[in-house]
Amino acid sequence: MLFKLSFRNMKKSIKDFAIYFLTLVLGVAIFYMFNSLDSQEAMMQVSNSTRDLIKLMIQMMGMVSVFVAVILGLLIVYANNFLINRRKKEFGIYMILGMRKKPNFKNNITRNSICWNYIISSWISNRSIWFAIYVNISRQII
Amino acid sequence: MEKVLEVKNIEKYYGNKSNLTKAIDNISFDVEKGEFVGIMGASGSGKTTLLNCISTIDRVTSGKIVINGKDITTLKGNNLNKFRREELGFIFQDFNLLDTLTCYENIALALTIQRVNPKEIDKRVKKIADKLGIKNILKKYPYQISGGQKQRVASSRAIITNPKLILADEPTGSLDSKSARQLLEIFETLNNNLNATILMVTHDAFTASYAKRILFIKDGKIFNELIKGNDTRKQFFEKIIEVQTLLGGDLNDVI
Repeated sequence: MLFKLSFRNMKKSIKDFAIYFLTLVLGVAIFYMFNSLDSQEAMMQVSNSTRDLIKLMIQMMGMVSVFVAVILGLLIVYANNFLINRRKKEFGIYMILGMRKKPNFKNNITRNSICWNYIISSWISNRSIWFAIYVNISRQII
Repeated sequence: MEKVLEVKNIEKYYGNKSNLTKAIDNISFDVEKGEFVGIMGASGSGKTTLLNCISTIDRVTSGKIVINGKDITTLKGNNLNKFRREELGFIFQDFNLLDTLTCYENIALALTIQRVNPKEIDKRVKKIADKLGIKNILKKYPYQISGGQKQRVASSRAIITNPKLILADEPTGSLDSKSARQLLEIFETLNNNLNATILMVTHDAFTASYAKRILFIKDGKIFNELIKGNDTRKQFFEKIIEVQTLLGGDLNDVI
């Protein structure tokens, strides 16, 4: 019964999830693009005079990427809130009916869809944040 | 008689020190088992706030609310969830059914959350559906049925767990007069035959006339109390209208 509920909820909100995934993937991809600009093959094969210019550009990029990381972080938070907000009313009904907030994993993994959605979304945002931090740190070291 | 609900000197304030609104100002009353109580008042009189406090959705500023011997103002977390699923039944103006589930599943959800076994659920859902006349729409989704039917499904969801107290917030608010009458007759039979305790908030005198006792609220205080006693519904209705005029009811505000 609750499995059915969680499954149907997933099916219904698949469009929302698609947008969510797309936003996050795009955000992370752009971030990566910015940060890996200097390690592109095209950058290696330039003359000495332009190399100095590129070095300056890369230094600038380091600062800009911090700024981009902040914006990306805000985007992730916003996307999470967006998803939760769309289902606010539904969660309200669950609460009114007295659903347990913490599902019992031993009994039933799909106890409720809230949990699943939460796990998926937090996993993704965690991944992307860590990825962003990792890229940033590695840039600083190099 | 056994007291199901005791409200003791509750107060609810909104806003801050400089701009204080007393939504509920020292209200006390009791509801006994098997009573059908209506709460009436103009808009902004605090009746919905009162219901929200009783239904554990909102917290009171001071005072006590005791339901079935438990002080609900101190409940928190899992105890609160347990209390909600076992002792309360909710009926709303806008039904609040889940669109992703069929009517049958909507009703069954209340029991599933209580971890009743599926065979028992099936039996109880069918029994209640039979009583409320929604047996033939059980397989449909909420968006495929009419408002009156939706409210009946919502009512079955509220009463299937045999709650100690059923709370209804303007249950007929979004229904036409015929479905409203049907629903209220269902409430009456539930009250008479199953001995269900119902607390209903409404601003409509006709809806209120089905209750056995009515509390009038004005500016956060209990203004008057009417008991149906042996009156017919029509006599009771006229009495309600009388009190409402005294109250400076909606009509004056509209014109």
